[in-house]
Amino acid sequence: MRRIKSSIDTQSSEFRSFQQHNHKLMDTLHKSQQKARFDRPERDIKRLRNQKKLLVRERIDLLIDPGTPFLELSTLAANMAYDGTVPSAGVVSGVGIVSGREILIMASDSSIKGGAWYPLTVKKMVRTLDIAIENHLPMVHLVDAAGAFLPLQSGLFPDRHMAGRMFRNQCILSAKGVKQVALVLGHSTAGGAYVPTLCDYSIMVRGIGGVFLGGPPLVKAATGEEVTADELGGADVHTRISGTADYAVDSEAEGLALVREIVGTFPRETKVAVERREPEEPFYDSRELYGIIPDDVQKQFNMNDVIARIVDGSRFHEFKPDYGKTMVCGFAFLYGWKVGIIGNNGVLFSDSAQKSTQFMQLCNRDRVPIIFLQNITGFMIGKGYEHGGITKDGAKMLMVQANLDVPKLTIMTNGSFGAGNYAMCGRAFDARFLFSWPNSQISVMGMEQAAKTLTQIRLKALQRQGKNLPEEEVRKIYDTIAQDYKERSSAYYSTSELWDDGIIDPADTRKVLGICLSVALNREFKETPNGILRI
Amino acid sequence: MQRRIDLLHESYRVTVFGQHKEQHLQVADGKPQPAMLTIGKDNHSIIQLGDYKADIQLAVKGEKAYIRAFGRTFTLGIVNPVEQAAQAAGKGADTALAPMPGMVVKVHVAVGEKVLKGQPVITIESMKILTVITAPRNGEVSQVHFEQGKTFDRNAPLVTLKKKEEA
Amino acid sequence: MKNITKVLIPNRGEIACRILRTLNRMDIPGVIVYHPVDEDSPAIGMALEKVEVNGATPVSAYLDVEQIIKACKQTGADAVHPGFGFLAENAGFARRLEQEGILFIGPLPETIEMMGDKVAARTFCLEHNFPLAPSVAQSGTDKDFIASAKKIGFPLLIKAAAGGGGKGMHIVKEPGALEQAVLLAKDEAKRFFGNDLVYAERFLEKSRHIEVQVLADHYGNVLHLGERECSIQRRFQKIIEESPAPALDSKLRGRICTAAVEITRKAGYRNAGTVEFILAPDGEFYFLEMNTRLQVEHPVTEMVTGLDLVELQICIARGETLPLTQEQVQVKGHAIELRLYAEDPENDFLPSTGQLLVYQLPSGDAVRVENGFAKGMTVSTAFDPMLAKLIVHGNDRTKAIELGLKALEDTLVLGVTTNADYLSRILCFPAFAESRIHTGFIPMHAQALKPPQLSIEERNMLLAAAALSNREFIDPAFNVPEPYAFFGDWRN
Repeated sequence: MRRIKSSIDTQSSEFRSFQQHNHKLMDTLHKSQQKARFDRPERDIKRLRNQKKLLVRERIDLLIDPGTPFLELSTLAANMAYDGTVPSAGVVSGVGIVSGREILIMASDSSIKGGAWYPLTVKKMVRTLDIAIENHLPMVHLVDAAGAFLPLQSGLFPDRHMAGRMFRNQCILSAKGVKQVALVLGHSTAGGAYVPTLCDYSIMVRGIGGVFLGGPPLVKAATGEEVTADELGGADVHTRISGTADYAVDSEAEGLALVREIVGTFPRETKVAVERREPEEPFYDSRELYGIIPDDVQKQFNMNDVIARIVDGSRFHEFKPDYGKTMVCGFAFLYGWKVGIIGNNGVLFSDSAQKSTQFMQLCNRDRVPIIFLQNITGFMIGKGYEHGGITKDGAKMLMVQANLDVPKLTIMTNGSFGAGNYAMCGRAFDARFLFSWPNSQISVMGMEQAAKTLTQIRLKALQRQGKNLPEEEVRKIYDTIAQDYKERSSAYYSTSELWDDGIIDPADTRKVLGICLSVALNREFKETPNGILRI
Repeated sequence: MQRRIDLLHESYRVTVFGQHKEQHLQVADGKPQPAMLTIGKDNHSIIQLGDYKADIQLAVKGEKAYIRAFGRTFTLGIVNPVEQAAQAAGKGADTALAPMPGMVVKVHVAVGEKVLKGQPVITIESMKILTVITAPRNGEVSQVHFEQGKTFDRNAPLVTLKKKEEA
Repeated sequence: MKNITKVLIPNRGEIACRILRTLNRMDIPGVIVYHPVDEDSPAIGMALEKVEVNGATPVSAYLDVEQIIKACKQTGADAVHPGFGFLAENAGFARRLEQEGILFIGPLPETIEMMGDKVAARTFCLEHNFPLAPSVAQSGTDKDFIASAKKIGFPLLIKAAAGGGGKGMHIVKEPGALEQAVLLAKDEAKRFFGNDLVYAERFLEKSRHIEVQVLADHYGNVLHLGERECSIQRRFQKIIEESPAPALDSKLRGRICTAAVEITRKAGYRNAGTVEFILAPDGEFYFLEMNTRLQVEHPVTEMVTGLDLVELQICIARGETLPLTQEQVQVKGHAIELRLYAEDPENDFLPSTGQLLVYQLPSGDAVRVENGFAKGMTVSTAFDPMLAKLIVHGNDRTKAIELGLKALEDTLVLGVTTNADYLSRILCFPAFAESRIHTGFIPMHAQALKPPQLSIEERNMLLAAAALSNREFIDPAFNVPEPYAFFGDWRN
């Protein structure tokens, strides 16, 4: 397979200025992640130590195999919510290796409000379980949660995809033969009591673990019965009397060792049979991406240069290179697995939409997973294009994309605006994993356009009231709207609201996609031997 | 994979990375080094670790490795992490263990009997030395593992007390 | 003259094998009794017939006189060779055999009785003016005994009157510890030897343990086969013995051996025996005890004299006269016996147990091996932890030490901790090579005899070997799957 010839001049001033800009972004990202992962008030850490509890990431370190990676998802969830007091939405989720097996880990962070569930906590947990279902990934739950955060209960309890969905997902997982192990290292109250109980294997730590539908204060309030947490639903009660849990251990360390032992008895998942070769590092250094990604979302870059810094050996077989040039389609290998790549190189026209539709059919028939690299401002608009059927062609692309059987992975590399987001497998289209680069933006239309439009609307409304504003006032209105808009379309806002599975360092894209691909191939996908329509 | 290995009364955390031919081994937080064990005939083997190589004689049973090397003979034990964590959590405080291999001379207590810490529970004999084993804490005898005349190994549980939560 | 057509051996381990070897050579059928715990022992295969015995404990089975007599009748054995330990010095057993018309290959019951009672033995020596270390027997109350014991001087030993073989002895270093020691010793004496009579004896530090092998027929002929030195002891038990005693003035040797012969003669002794002496640093020697049986270390005497003691015992028992004169006894070269024990010298010599996963003993002409175990057998605390004896013989002591080291090098025991490496370190130790040995050798050089420290690299190689031979580490089922194997401990 031919290698992409990247013509990036790493010495150019443009490269250097982009690089500086992106290094700053990386710095911010790393600092934010550090803070979210490790900054906790002294007294909360003390409290945990007194209770003889380990911190959540200490637990994960003891759980996973030494010398193995851990892909943490949505580290910055809730970073722009609740005044930033609930880092990572109070729960840690990620893919790691336990006793040689690929495992999805979900662990409550009891150093944050005792592990209480906020609406975004629940959203993140439901999303994690969705990942488990879609990818048939065995799960380990490290349960240590105080229960729902009552003041915001209406945002986490009643609706279809709220707390109940978690338990429903667990049941579905069980029926699909996907194993779940729970280690109860804290209290698991009310609905939360179902988390370990719905797992295949439930371990409780004596003196610390407690599972009950209503805790001691609630019991006292309801019936007047006075009982301690241990007497009510401690490890010995549930392993000797009620049978609600399966193992009782005396320490967190013993519990984690027992989880490892149990997972060690699981059969290793057989991956879907797709072609695999010997992996090869990219020819171009991934870190060059910092000099390629522009400092302004409106500036263009060549997606081929990005692909060259992700795939094995920078080798890429471009499909239909001379047609629909604003879309790049082709085959490559990622850590040995064959993948189809679809990336934007400009606005979407009819021909680029048609090309990618044809290509997606090819991938689907030949069982090749697809990676979408988004950088899209939208479809082309205007009379000529409309008459040419651009809406129809966009719809074809959507139709095929939404019905793909092969796994889809999406990276937001820059802009993701409007209908282009849909066609390129945005969140609504069930990518197995979707990650954002820190510079990326997502909104229904570009910021400038949207801010102009909204300012106009405001001005018109004021004019009807008979107010006419001077230049700077108009400017101020525009700036405020623009600022607010910008914030709500930033990668940080997106990840805060769990519109993605995390912000990643562009230089890590290859590794992240490698892990996601491995995970995605755990679940068999339908074979659809259809003829290819040369659309 | 990572386990603790006991050697000469010290416990070491040993980690092995990599697949068969390219294994790397790390002791505690030291530098991981390429490692290979070539098993030969007649219990003769060669161990290579980093730049070092040694001829050894090796036999394995269960979790114990018996090695003769460097003019001495060693017994190494690979510790099961669940058991090790359990012991570290103080599970052992419920049981009196045999300090040496030997034979039971006399059992002084019965199942169900309440004992005080330090009270003699069993007398053992080893190499014509008598040793009186005492209760590790106040409690109720839940099990006597060996009767008079029976032999046992070092660290064998002799008398177990009922767990505190149950008693 | 009596005829011996079949010999029963109520014993086990290497001594049973050794006796059977001579019996087989003499074409005399041998019968072995055994407890099921010993059913894999090599001795079973060497004997013509075997009879199972049982008991509350394995040891008690070998002490069961009635079962043994029954076994003799059952198999038609007309003689018994008791080996050492168990019933070898049990006068009652010897008498019972006599009653049943079965020959006991050893001395008369009365002699066994006298020499078995350490106090009686000492009285005997006093009567005949044989040299004795200052001692006092118990008569009267414990208080009286303690008072008279004090007078002997410290340090002293409290010993069981019915004891022997280095068991049930307590060293008392100063008067304050005397009362405790006496009570403890009496308690143990009662428990292990059946009666609580004890005696106190002056303990001479840095003395040497010299013993003389004697033979006597039923016609008053007595001779000695030279002396053995057994000073390398731990817990009063010998672990290295040699013959002749190194650096021993020949006149002194003559006096000691002569004294032994006299004691034997005056006691009316018959068959093989050993007279043990303490040789003090000042050149004085004192009677310690007489062992009325074949001893563990008899092979060193056989190596230097070229004689087969078991054969001689059988001949004497049959009523033959001694086949040689004292002048015909020649001691050539130097022999050393190394006792291989299942114990951990680095942990106070505590016995070790386990399965003999690898059990390779040296072979060839340069070493004589007396072995009672086989690969795959389990070593338990049911019996004494001796696995085997390695006996070497060279032109001189230096050569013998060299052969001993080679024999230990060729010994490989894995699965049970042994003292093999420890014995090597003793043989290499300058004080041993220079014959500066005495009964306090092992405690005195305890620090110096510790094994050399492992270097970090050596330690790590051991850990690596253990890890890479263990399933948990190398089972591919735990391998990190691809592509994770490429990432190391990357975090995003």
